[in-house]
Amino acid sequence: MAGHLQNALPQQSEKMITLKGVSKSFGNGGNAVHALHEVDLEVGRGEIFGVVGASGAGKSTLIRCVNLLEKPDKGSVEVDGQVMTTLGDAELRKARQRIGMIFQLFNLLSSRTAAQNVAFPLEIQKMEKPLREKRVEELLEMVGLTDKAGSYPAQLSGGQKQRVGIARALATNPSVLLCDEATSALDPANTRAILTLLKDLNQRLGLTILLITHEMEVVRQICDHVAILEEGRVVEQGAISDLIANPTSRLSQAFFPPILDSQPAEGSVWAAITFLGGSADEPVLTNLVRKFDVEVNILGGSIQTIGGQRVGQLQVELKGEQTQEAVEHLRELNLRVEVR
Amino acid sequence: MMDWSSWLPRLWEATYLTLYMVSVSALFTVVLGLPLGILLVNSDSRGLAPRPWLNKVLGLVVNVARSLPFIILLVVIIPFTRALVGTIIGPTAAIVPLTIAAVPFFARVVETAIREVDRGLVEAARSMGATNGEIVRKVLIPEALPSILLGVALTVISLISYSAMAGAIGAGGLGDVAIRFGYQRREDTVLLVTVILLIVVVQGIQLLGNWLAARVNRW
Repeated sequence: MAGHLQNALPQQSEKMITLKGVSKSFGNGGNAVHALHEVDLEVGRGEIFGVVGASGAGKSTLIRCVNLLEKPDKGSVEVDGQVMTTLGDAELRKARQRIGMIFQLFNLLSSRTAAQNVAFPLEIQKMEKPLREKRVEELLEMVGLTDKAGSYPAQLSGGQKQRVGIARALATNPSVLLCDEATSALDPANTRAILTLLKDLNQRLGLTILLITHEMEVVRQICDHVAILEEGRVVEQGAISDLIANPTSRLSQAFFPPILDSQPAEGSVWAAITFLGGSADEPVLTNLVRKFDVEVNILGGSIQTIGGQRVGQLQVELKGEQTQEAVEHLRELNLRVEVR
Repeated sequence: MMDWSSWLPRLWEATYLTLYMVSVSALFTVVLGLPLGILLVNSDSRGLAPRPWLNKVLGLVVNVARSLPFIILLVVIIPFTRALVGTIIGPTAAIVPLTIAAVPFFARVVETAIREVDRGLVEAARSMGATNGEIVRKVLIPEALPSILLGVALTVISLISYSAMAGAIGAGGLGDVAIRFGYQRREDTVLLVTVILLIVVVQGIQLLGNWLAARVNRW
């Protein structure tokens, strides 16, 4: 019954962006640079998805493959149910109007005021002038820049320029926003403000955001999903809450770097215990010492809010007769424990 | 002592002829050179519409035209000028070689100005679904406009210098007066006055160019 009902309703796909086997290289022959290797990526509707990696990992190429500013050599790209990789020029231009993009260096036209910059995509869309002016006003209000409508980019601060960039990117009501290192040129205060704005737009408009960054801080503050890119390959991908719970994930190790890099002494083990949400409130270690013949020595630890969730990690040294049992006990409490 | 009453109308007429030759050929130069410069930028491998062979051909033509000294160009294209204007003498006939000499120069100026436009702006426009035509009209030209306007001033000043040579072979104008009367008849005062007039005109054009460029520059 329920199944029939569901089938009768027009269904929106859960996936907003799907990359399958996307490869891209630049140059040819021996000098070719392979920017992307067989990249698979799935971004769900309404997610804030971060792609992180060092510079040169292929992040820029990856985000440009989504709106086909770079044409993949191989593989397919689908955005909001539309396969981008098979579109003709005119259809591609139409499709791009449904995908907003903001840039590290803002890329505002210096010859246009803030309002005229925001109007640009609407002119491309051939929107009538009165409608356009009304829409521009709404957009500038949305990003809190109503009073800067007549200012030229040279008169704006970095944070203000990126707000204009966001207003411009959202002018045509896109379903997806691509952010190319959107906060990398901003100071910490402006970075926070822009990230807060993006999060707010994500929630208010149901906007799907795909961002690339080299800063884990950006991931920590707003992302709910992440992919880690290394030398053109996706080496890890998933929901942050899943990845962070696993102390062996690269994401977890990026947030909680191992404190000591020497080896544990004979007869003792080192363990990284990850606490999520409520489990941080339990007196876990006290119980451990009471119940088992172990000594617990704390090496280090921290608690962070990652993607809106409190996550703690404690790195401890366990010594004594019952270290194995102690670790088993911790795992029974649904804590993630990695023994080194 | 000079008889100003007979010289003034002559100088006035010469100034007018120079301005006529220069302004009409400047107009044609901008109309032809702007698209040529845009084509030079956008047909190369990094341009909006790469056409490598077209780019090579255009580049070659521009370089050939620019390697000819103006006085030689003037002579070489006589048949073309005659076919186009019906005569090879007079200010109107001079407009043809002046334009042909200035178009490749101005096209290179436009090319340089447009290459200086941040590529990120082009990328942003493409991400918004702009066509190549829209990118040229709404991004490249407006963003390069201050440099292009300075380039127009530069080109007009070169045209004034070329027009003096054209004057020497029968087009009239300040150059003609300076050579025929000032130099050949040793009328030093006439020579001095034409030189001063040329300096004033050139200064005026440069100041106008600077002013216009500053007006459209939002940096």
